[in-house]
Amino acid sequence: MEEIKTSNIVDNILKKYENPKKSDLSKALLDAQNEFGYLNEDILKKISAYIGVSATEAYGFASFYSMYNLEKPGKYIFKICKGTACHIKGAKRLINEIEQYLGIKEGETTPDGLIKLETSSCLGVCALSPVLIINDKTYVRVNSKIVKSLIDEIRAENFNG
Amino acid sequence: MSNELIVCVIDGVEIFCEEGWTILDAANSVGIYIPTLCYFKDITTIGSCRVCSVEIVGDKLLHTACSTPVRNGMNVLTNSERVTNARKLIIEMILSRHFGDCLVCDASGECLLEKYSYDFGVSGNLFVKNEFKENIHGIDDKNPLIIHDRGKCILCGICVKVCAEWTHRDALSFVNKGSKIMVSTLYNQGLEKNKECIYCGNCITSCPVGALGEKNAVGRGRAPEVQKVRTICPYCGVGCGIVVYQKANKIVKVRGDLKSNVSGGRLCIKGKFGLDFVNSKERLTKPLIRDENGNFKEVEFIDAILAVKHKIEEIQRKKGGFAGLSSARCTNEDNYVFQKFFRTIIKSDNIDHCARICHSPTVSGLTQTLGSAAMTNPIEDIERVDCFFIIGSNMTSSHPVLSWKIISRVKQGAILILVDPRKSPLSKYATLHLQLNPGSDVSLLNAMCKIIYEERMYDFDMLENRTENYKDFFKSLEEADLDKLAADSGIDESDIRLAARLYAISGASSIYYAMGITQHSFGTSNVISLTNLAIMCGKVGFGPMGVNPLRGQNNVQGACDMGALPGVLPGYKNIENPADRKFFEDLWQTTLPEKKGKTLIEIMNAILDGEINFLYIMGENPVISDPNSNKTLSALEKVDFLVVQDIFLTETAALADIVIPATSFAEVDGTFTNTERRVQKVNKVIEPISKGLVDDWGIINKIAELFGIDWGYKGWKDIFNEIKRAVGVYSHIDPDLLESKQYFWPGDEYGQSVKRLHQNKFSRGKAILSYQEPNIPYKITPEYPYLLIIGRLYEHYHTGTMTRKSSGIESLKPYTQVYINPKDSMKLKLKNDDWVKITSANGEIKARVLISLEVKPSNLFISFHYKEAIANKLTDSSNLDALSKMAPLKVTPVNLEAL
Ligand code: SF4
Ligand code: SF4
Ligand code: SF4
Ligand code: FES
Ligand code: FES
Repeated sequence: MEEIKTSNIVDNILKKYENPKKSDLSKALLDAQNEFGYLNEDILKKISAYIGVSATEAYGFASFYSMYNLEKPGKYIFKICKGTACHIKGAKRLINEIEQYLGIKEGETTPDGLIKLETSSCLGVCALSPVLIINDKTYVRVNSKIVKSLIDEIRAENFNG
Repeated sequence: MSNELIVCVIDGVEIFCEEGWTILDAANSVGIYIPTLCYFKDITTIGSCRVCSVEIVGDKLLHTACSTPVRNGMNVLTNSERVTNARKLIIEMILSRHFGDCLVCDASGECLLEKYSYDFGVSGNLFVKNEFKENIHGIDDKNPLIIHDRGKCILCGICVKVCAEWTHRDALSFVNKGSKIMVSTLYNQGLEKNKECIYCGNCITSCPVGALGEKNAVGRGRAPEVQKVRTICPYCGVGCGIVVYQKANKIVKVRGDLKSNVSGGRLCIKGKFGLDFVNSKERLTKPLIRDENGNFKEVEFIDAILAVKHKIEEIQRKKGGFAGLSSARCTNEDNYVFQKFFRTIIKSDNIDHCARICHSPTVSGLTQTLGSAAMTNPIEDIERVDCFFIIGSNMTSSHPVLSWKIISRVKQGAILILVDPRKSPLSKYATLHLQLNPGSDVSLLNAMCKIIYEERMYDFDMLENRTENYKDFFKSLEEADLDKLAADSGIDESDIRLAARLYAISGASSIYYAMGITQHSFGTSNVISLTNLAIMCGKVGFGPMGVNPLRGQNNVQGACDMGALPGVLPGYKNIENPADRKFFEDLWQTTLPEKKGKTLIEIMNAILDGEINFLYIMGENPVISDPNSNKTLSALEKVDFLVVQDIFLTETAALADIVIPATSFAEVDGTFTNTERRVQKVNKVIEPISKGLVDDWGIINKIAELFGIDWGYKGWKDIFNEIKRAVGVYSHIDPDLLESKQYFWPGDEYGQSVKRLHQNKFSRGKAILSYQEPNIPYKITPEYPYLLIIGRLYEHYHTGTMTRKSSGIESLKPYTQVYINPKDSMKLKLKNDDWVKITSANGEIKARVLISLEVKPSNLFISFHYKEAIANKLTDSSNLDALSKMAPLKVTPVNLEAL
């Protein structure tokens, strides 16, 4: 059902481009993004087929410009500091373990769109390293156990709600 | 185009250039070397790496040789200090983001970056921490065949272009930007999730560094330790050139042969990844003979062939009957010796091979109408065709490399008329796709001819001067009922009219066809109707236009040329014609049978009737490939003595009394003749995998020696030299020059190869037009409400004996599926991968379903590669084509039930 709705909306967007040219790709992608918030595979494939470029090429194009969102934006953005102090305190291992726990790599979003895992350079609170920021909230002196329980909490909340 | 003379000077050498040349072309033409990284032949120029920079005297900027056209009077320096410094800098820059380690890289020794670093004395960051390289770029290796190590990628972009322009797939693209830029797939999902990759491996062949590689070749040998041998792909009739890497008598990997005149480096999955079978543990190494209890036991080679000899003598004493099946997989030499053995020693003409069930109607049809049963044009002519008429050919699966050339041409603007009941992958490129009712080809073709006649779009000169009887043909067309023809074909008259006009009016139109035309009990009619169309429009016998049957197997053309057909002596001489017979009796110093022998299916019937008691099969697997498998099985079980010569214990060999192991194509020297009549040299890549294995012809030769006959064959060349005398159309070929010269058959009076047949004059003199009454169409009945179409998949080949030994390929397509239209699957409440039972009047099989729009409602499609679901259990072998004895393999009425 959801897919058919999406597809209809995209159809509507594409109506604007009657005789599509290659140069319409960027505008059409942007229109779709404004509608959906991001561009998923189905949307991208549909638009690229209509414009007449290959989907992989369109993906390459969109990934070049930062204005396109190719992933469902995560509801919770995890930023783990990778600065020198945090590094010394085992940030790397922490990242690895969280990657494993979430089943994604850094820079990626969980398939349910709940959590996006990012890293950052020094956040300026080296004394309290390692440091993790979730959305706007800062957690200091974290370890993998703490982070895992935070994740569990978020999951439980969103699952029930 | 201006005819201005372009002369330029490169490093002091004066060069006369052709219009459109780049500086690189000019330099190459006189052997001046310019390094390149992102340049690759046969793709659009990329021009991004700048390694090929050269100095044009008087110009401040350096220019890229690969993309700068030459101008008259240009003075170019390829080696000045400026150039060298610039190149050094470029290599340094590339190396700074190259996270590879030559010490453990499989490409070492062949990698261009490594070479240029050495040439320009630039050293790199050899040891890169793994974490760095993985975090930044990553390795894509989750698919079974290809490993893409992005750390080594130099972003030349060749693979992206090759994938799009050679293979016409869209698996790869540059993604991201800045330091994160990389070559990747849609949403970085990797090649395996992305249905676009068809594992042709052409991206690997073209990658100048070690970023792309064969997964199972990792760590198995680098350039200095391997031996590279050029030879020919053993799969389909296209005959692509391959370069095989071998180490310690094992095949490590295969690359496309960039120098091949057929394929120019392109390969499909079979040639690229399908050679694992050669070193397979399942290869037969010792002859097998049945013991008292009927179990196989291993014996020595000499005992096996002695047993064969004694059996032959015994059956001769009893006046029993003999038959032999030769093989389109084997070399010309093997086929020649096999038929010679049967005709001169056993004195039997009951010799046939699988061409019977693929292109025998082509032989009977084209010989009648044009006088020669082969592709009229070389593959290279594809580049000059304006309108392709492709009928009954699923070429993206069966002849992939040839199909890609056609698609390239279509992308340049040529018209493609596709006639196929299925929405095959090629339909995506079709200008017009006619989804006719299965088996209604004659109706459709007649309708086209009638329209062309009515609209006077025929070629009067051709009809008047180069045909015999066009007036009769026109009379039949006049009487034909267009409405009925169109209705029977299931296609709107307006679409047929459009097809007729496109074909008749386009400049150079050319027909390509395959098994969809021939594998019917009216196959010969189909072929004749096709030639009617071509002849009446003057679209054959002139330039790139013609009628082109695509031969299925690597050497099926050769096996026919060698006379592995009943009644057909080498070079298509007729055994029932006294003069032809005399020629061979003189050549071979013996007497020959006077009557034409039996064809494949007649042989099976004769066994069941007790007329044939001895069957010798060389390299074929009729249990799976032949119609009505149940009947074939009972014939092979019944025959008194069955000898099978093969590389594996196939389903057929398992029934034999004696199995003799043979060598594979990789272990022999000899020749194959591809679909375009090109004779190519097959080179020995490795020594036989086990001591005592003998070439196919060698085994037969040894048996002949036991009969006291010495043909004096010491190697393939002795046989080839005899073939030159026996087969007129091969007489111009010099076996020593096969690798340096291009040879097609026939040769002209000056000993030059004739690439295009029928130019100015048809082989039979004047061509014949012959109106064919439409056959009775395939009918569905309440009992059998579906029409099952049997064909091939891209990944597998024929009976699967070889491709299914490749673990990588097998894991891509491990089981067979029957394609069904969503309308029908809904009716039967089927989901993808549900099991179904398919029944015909001849047998039943089980398979899983794939719901697909490729087939029309009430049509089904299945491949015949899988022994688990032998599609040929369903096919019929009783209703044969009168002239060619072809069985109706392509279409069978069946029922389908959910299980
Ligand atoms: S294997 Fe072939 S289809 Fe796959 S990415 Fe490489 S070139 Fe493209
Ligand atoms: S993978 Fe190879 S061919 Fe492709 S861009 Fe990288 S270096 Fe070039
Ligand atoms: S197209 Fe045919 S000859 Fe070429 S690689 Fe594939 S199977 Fe071999
Ligand atoms: S290094 Fe992590 S906060 Fe400074
Ligand atoms: S080879 Fe000329 S720019 Fe790369």
